[in-house]
Amino acid sequence: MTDYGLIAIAAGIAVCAGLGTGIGEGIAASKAVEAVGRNPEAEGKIRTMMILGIALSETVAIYGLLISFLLMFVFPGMIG
Amino acid sequence: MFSPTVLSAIHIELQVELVFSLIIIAALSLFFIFAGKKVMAANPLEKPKGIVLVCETGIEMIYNYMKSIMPSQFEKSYYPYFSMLFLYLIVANLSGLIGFDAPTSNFSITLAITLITFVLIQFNAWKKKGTFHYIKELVWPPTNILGAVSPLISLSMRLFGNILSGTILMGLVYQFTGWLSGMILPVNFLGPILAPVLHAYFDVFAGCIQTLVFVTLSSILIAIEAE
Repeated sequence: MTDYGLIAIAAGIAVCAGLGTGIGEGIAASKAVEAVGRNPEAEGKIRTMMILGIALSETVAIYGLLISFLLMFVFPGMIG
Repeated sequence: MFSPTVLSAIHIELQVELVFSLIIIAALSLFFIFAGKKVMAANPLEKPKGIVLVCETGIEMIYNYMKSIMPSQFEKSYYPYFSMLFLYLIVANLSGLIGFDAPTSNFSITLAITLITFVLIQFNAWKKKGTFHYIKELVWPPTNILGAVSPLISLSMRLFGNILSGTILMGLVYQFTGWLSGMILPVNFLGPILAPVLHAYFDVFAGCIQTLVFVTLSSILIAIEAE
């Protein structure tokens, strides 16, 4: 295996950070649906809060993506 | 102070995102100087219209939003800062659509914006607790130092990562559609079909949401430290 192949595998593993984020966002969305079912008048407020929470938990996946970008674009230049 | 070898090792370049950021700041300043003149000349007894109406509605929206998440002693003194943040970030995030390199895809700029928030957080904590208690709570237990620095990293990385990932993924999409359509015609005809949907998500949706998240989080962090 070449160095670049190993780096590509590492970048793939780094994106696994999205696993937990996907589950968490699903839970947040399902709870928001429950909340709207229980209290349909508060739909606007619930939507804003849900999007805020989802955007917050999405950050973890973004960190993984950043690491994989670093591995793909910056790291090969560093090891020459 | 520096030896010549160290000086020659420092590499200074004018990054293109910084130039775009300056252009955006200049355009916003010109717009608001113009709007301010209009507001000064407007008659407060009449119904506002045109540019005055837009400015009044926007300011009121941000003021009401700040009122709902910050304690009352803050809303008056801090809403100018947050409206500035909101406007700059939303224009910067959306500027990818008109061919700019979005300024927030450069880490220097997000770090600089976050530094302002960081200083405000620490200043409010110091004002609330007094010098002795502030320093005591900052260094003991020592993990508190990490807690003080973490907003700096998480806030700036969140904004930077979201916008940069959108930019890079769009670049990959254009490369892919170019390769795919290159099999049939030498023109990238698939790109304009596929790209607008993804632009709507990565640039418009993610840009607006991240602006809201950044402003909300920094206001909550400032309010929490001072309570």
